[in-house]
Amino acid sequence: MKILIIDDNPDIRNLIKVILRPYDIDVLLADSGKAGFEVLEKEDIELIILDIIMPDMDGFEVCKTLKGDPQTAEIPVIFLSVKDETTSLVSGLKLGAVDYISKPFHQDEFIARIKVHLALHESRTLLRSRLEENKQLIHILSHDLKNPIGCAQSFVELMNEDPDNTEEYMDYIKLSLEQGLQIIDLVRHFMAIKDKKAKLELKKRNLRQLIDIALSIIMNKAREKDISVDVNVDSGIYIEVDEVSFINSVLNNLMTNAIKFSFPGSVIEINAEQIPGGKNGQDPGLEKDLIRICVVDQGMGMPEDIRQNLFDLKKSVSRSGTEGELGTGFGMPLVKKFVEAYGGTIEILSVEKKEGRDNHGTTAVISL
Amino acid sequence: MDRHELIIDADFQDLVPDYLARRKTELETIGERVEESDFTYLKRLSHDWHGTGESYGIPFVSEIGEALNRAAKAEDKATILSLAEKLEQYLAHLDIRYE
Repeated sequence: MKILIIDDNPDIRNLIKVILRPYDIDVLLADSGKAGFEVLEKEDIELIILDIIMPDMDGFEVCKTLKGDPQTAEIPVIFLSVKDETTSLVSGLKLGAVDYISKPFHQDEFIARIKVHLALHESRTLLRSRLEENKQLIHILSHDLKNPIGCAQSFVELMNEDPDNTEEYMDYIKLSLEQGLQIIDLVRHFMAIKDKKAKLELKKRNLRQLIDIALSIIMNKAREKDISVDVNVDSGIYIEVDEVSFINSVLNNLMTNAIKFSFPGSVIEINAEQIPGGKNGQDPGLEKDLIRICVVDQGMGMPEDIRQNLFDLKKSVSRSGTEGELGTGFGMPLVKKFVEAYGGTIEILSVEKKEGRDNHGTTAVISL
Repeated sequence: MDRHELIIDADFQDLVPDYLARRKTELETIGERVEESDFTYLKRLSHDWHGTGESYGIPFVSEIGEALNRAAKAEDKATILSLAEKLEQYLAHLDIRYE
């Protein structure tokens, strides 16, 4: 927790530093508004204590500048003023400061006020981040629901073109709609987990079977681009996951991306290996067996800056696929959330397609 | 003149001697500033005394600061000098115990 004191009087700066020493607060000092802005450029400050009367730029001017800059506007500001300045303080508070402390102040009152405002700031920040996360989840929902609904729509079209196989297509439509409903349940579940009301139910599942179900939903897209999917997964590999999220969010997103960024006619590989752990395992560093699942495409790859921000909800960006396919850019952050909920990790390796480079493509590696 | 005894929070033990030394240095300049009618400086100085003394556990510095600030605004040279003298005497007879 970092707070910034902007006051030209060293007696005040030193005093506040000593008063706050026993608390888990990092106190940064600035002797002018200008010095304060320099600190703010480098540090994440959670509270500013600002003197009003200072040479060059007074506290009101500093506050006005802070509130006018989106980078600093949300940082709470507390004015420090001597008692006879309280009248002008009212107009100062209108600039956006949250409170003021009169000088001379008493240690206990000072600490109490600082604590109140730090707690308020923390609550506000948490609330904002939850709102943002919920907003992103709605985007993710739309993204993941698009696949089963699109799949059902394709089979309805096939039924019209090929009425002799209606029964078979009906089964696929039913399966797709079931997947869609499961996603909705999953998001409800996900929200409950976020609110710490529930836990994902992890069960041992056959990896090959999960991949086959996921492929049945996504294969139409691959066929449309004449992309073949080569699955090299031993039928004896089991993983401990939540089935619905693993099929509909993790595998679905990874495969959708692989198809989206692959060139027509290319091959996508899904590989898995089991690395024995424990006392008799190959890797003595592993407490238990490690399952490594790779989704490998030979597509356009991605630039390094995109790869680095792929799992960040706020920085994640959507890119068009090789055939102009659109996306939301929110799939991968959700994939990471789920893989971590299973106790695993995910890593993305990528080589961007450039002239004279043949080994381009992306590999998603999940370790469970 | 009687001695004044103050008990100050031990947390401030490292700060108070420097704080008092700065006040003594400032007091030495007051006569000159009054002579020059530098009321801007005197207002600023008294404002700082008013705002810090009590917080350091020395309320008399704040009291003198407040009164001196009023005198500086009124450009009342005699009162300024008298208040400075009072503070000088007070500090010269001050005994501090840290607890």
